[in-house]
Amino acid sequence: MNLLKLLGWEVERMTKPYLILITLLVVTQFTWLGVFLWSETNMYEEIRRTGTPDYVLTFGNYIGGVPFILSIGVAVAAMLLYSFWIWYRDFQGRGTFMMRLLLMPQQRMLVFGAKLATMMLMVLGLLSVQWIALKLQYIAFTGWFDSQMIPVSGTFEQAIRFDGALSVMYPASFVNFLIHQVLIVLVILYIFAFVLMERSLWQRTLWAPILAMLILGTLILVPVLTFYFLENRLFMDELMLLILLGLIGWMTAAIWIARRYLTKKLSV
Amino acid sequence: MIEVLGVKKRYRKKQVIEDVSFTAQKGEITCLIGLNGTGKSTILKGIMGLTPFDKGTVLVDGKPIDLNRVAFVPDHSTFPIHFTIEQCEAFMRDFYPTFDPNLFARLVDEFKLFPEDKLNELSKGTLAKVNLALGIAQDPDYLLLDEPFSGIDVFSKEQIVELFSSDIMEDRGVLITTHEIEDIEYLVDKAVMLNRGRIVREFDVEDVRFIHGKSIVDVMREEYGA
Repeated sequence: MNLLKLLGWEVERMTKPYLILITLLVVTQFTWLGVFLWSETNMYEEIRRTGTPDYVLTFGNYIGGVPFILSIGVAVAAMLLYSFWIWYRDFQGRGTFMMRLLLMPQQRMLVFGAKLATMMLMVLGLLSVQWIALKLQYIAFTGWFDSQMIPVSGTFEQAIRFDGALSVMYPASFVNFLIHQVLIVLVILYIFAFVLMERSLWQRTLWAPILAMLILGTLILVPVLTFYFLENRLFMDELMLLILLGLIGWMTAAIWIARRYLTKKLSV
Repeated sequence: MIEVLGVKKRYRKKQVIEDVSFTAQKGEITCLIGLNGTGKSTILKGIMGLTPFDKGTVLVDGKPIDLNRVAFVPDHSTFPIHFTIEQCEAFMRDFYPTFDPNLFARLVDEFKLFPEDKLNELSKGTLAKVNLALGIAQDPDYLLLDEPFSGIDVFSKEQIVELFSSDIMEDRGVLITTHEIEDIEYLVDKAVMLNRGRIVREFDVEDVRFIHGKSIVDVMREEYGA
């Protein structure tokens, strides 16, 4: 119950910047779509006037455009930055709201859980909005070129599958989607662990951010190096088991570190 | 009783708290006294687990601290400054199980606060009263107050001092740090004097007053040579 209340609280705080981000994303993409449709139609007309056009448009041409890729890049960067800001904003100024959160009689890990859940809601919300926006853009894309009698080839699914960023965001199978979500959680967990470690060590040393990065970096690198060392020495099913153990190990370590620093070391 | 036993704290290269031990009884006002930078606020924050001590133990009635029974009022607001007093109260009601809305309403009334006021529109004195009201309304057995009179006007001070002698504070243990000792001198039961992170003197204020004829400020003069 308290976790839900805290989650509601965090969601309320992120709503405004989140809506701004979503609006920017959608407006940028639809503006780019308009520009794309206009310029491609003009170009096609030009080609038609000079001879028989032999080139066919695909939705991939549109989503491979720089403005589209940039809009997704900005959204991903905003999510990463917010993973830091969701903690750091509570340490800002003298009215350190973190103090109020830490003084709550409930377990401090509830704060951690609420912030993690908020981040995941943001990520999944962004994926959903982007999916709907993409579908609408595809409808507009095919509708426009059909009306202009300009040939379009390939399906929506094909365009997504051949696009680097979108194939990661919307993988073909549900299992892959789950794996990608686990990796996203892992990234957020390590950012959280970094912030909590840094905020716990700042009273001890000026090098707190570097120290935190070194400790967490080592923690991330050791399993990666182990994997590369064992890659040619193990069978495929053994490698899969190793990857699974690595993921579980990474996640457990990040949560353990975050818990330890949040409950025993954090200083405001 | 709050027992602080052998606590130590270091900030980078500076040892700010050096093996400090003292007690604060329930139903009494204990005052932590010291010049700036002697570690008074650090001790209060350490007791609440906001700045964990490097060594030492804190017990409340013989057990590890229970945040339902001990409230901390820092010398600044802990809420976002765009919050109204009502929003602060709503947060406290949601997340602090012992928060008593009736007690808060009484304090709001006594301090003549307006719930719809935003924190960033309040004077320092009014903000101090809001902080105090939010802390007391947690209905704690022990209340830790960090510089509640710092930089506030004389009338706000009077209102807060009056509160200390009212029924609202009855049976609560208060551990307070302040520079303005003369304002509450007659209310304080016990004084713990700190210098450079160490306790230099700990005394019963009434004993010193009646047996030695000295005020807290007199003892401070002796200790700090001011």
